[in-house]
Amino acid sequence: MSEHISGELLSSYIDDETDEDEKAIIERHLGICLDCHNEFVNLTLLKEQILKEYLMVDIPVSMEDHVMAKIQQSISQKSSSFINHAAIFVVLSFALVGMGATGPFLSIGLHIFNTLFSIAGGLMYAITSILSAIPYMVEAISAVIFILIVLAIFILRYLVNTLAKTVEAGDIS
Amino acid sequence: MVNDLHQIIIEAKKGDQNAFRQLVTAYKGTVFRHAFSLLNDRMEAEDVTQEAFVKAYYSLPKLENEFAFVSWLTRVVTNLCYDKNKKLNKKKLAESEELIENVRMPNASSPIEQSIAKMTIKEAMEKIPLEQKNVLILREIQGYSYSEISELLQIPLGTVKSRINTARENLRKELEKG
Repeated sequence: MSEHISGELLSSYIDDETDEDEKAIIERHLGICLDCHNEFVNLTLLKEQILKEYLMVDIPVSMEDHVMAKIQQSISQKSSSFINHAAIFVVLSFALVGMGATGPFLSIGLHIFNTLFSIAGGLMYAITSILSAIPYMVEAISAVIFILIVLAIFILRYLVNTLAKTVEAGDIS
Repeated sequence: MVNDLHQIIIEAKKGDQNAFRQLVTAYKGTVFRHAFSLLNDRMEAEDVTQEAFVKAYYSLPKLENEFAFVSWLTRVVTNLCYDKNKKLNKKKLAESEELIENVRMPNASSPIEQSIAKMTIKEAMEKIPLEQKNVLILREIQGYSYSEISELLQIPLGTVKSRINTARENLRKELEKG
């Protein structure tokens, strides 16, 4: 090996990430080439300095307390948010039932419901009449519905798989 | 020790808060060092560390393989640091200009030692791209092998090799610039 060792190979050698053949060639070369030997020494020193610099960093002592406090805080926030939503739902339900049962809202509500029911009935009759008049329409609609259901199952499976991978990667909070 | 930690992870997965607290104790050093080396800011690193553990607490039940906990946690921290770094980028750039204070080393002999005297490693690290810094930290501080880094960051092995080499070259350039 007459030419110098490439930076990438020397870098891998310092990290002990070369195979036995590469290692032997590099070590033979380092024994005869001062430039590469100096490069090797400098890179090794740099490596040691990085390690020393960051291992000296003081680790926060009360980290556990802070983390557990944050977890408790988020748990209580979630439960209080649930209680608030439940309370709002119950109050609104009672209010609606109360208004419907006691006030003029009952007769108006019944009237609206009756009208809507009549419209829906009329529409159903009209649609079924049109469909029965066209040949093979029912079969065609059934086929389209079947295709849509299969497509929806595939999309759902894909979404579930993607979500599972994202969760595993720790991207979901 | 490894078996103990594995058992603690299983307990924490079931929602045992004491077990999770033990996990924080066991890994806070690794997580904090990683965050600190990427962000170069103690307060921000503390925030990211806390956030990573809170995230871990809620996502832990979904972790399929307990033995992959550390690499999974490292990925969470890395992602959080990337996000945080985007937010802090402009601010950090301005601060890094002010941070460059010369730290003289007595009897510096080799070129690296002489350049270290001009600029500390931490300051030089701040100048290199985050992707390069990340692979270098994963290798030097966390002790991951090239193949583990490749798996963890989901990048080819060749990219890991070249990125580590480029990171070292850039770091040296920054140190030589002083």
